[in-house]
Amino acid sequence: MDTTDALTLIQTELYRIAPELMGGELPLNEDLRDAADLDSMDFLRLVAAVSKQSQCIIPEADYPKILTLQDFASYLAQPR
Amino acid sequence: MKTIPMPSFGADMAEGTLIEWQVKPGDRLSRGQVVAVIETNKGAIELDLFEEGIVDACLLGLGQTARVGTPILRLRDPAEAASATPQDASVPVSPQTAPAGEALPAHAEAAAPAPGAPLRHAGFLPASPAARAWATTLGLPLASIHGSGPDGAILLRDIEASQAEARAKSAERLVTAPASGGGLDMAAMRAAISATVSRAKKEIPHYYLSLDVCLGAVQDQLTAGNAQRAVEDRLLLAAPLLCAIARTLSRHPELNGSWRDDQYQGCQEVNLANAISLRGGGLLMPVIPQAQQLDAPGMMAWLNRLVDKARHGNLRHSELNGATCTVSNLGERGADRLLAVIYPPQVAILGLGRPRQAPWVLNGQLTVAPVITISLSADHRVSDGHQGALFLHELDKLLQQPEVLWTPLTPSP
Repeated sequence: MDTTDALTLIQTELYRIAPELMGGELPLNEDLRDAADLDSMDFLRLVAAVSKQSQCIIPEADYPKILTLQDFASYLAQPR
Repeated sequence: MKTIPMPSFGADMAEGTLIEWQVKPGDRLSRGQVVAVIETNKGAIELDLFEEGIVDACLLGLGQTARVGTPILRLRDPAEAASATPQDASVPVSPQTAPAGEALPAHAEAAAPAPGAPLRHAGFLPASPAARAWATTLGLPLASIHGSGPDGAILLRDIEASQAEARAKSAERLVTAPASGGGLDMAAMRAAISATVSRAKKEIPHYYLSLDVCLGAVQDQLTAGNAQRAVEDRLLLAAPLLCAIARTLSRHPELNGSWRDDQYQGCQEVNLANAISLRGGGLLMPVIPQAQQLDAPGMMAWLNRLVDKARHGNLRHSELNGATCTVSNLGERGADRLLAVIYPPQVAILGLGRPRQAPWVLNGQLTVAPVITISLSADHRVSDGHQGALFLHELDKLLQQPEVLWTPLTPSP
């Protein structure tokens, strides 16, 4: 998965949780919890959905590495 | 004869719009039966009744809006009339086939639904009558809309969502305004909140206590547990916190109960309301029954269930009622301390601030630890600051030995 695919995947799952964001522009480098007004339940559900779709297990300890759209996409795109 | 009024699903609800009747005149009610679906600023909520009776008349037409308290349904005593003929559920019933003498009010007649029945027809797209009517008005084919109701039924808000999606698609790159809170009157919602909190502040002599609690032990337990769990089964901090609060409340009936007609009734059983603010506005306070018996994973399962129900609009009236105490949780961002307003007829509310890293003295050493400020607002008519302080102290002690929160309590004999 490259960064662009990863970004599309994250955005698709994000819009499922917060459909009202559709059509707006989300900043790539802002904390998603602020930019998209996600509470901890929303964020957990986003991580679970992305993890399921991408087959990438995201440990809780890595949450600080996936807080912005850009970081999240790069995290998924990195070879492992 | 008795009438059922438009119910209130929360302090901020001023009015509701009837989107579906699931009963018709002549139906005999069973306990807990869902009789109607009502659209509110919190989404669609199912009205379930625990009354005995036979439906005499539906007093509100589909798509009509009524203020909280306005009669919407008339019931008669089962003994009063034996004329009820149950309809064959597989045949859609038009208003014309309703038994004579079961007259509906004029405004409801034209739109009288055949509850449940249409869903069983092959090739028939399940949709609430109001959604169907609106889709026709807009010229939208039902097949193009994703239904989020029971059995994939299309509801009013699905049409709204599909419209919003269409708008978003055609206006890609343009920043569009977020959808409004269900199309209901925001001023009416403010007025309803205002009425409740004004009454609370006028009638309830509040006192407030706060305690900073170190969450190091809970956090360690949570992290260790979550490392063993699949992503979707992980627990949020709220789960053990709500468990600890419910268990401590069960030993403090002076904070857990209801004040009605100048009389206080304390409870040992904790029906804990958890205030959730909804995306797009509105506040929902679903109730976790017998919360004192749950362990942290059990509490998390409840939270997941309630969030799903809140999002998909199938919360029931009974799931928003009967709370003995409330917790309001600010979440991870925002303020450190929340001094909440008590929700009558309850006599206490807990406010959870933002968990944060803070300097903490542990065994005479200055360290950095995860800390949360837990606040108690309580009714001075029922308890005193001393009891409130004891409650917070016991809660703190429980949170320092969190293993027990991962073990369910068996109900005391």
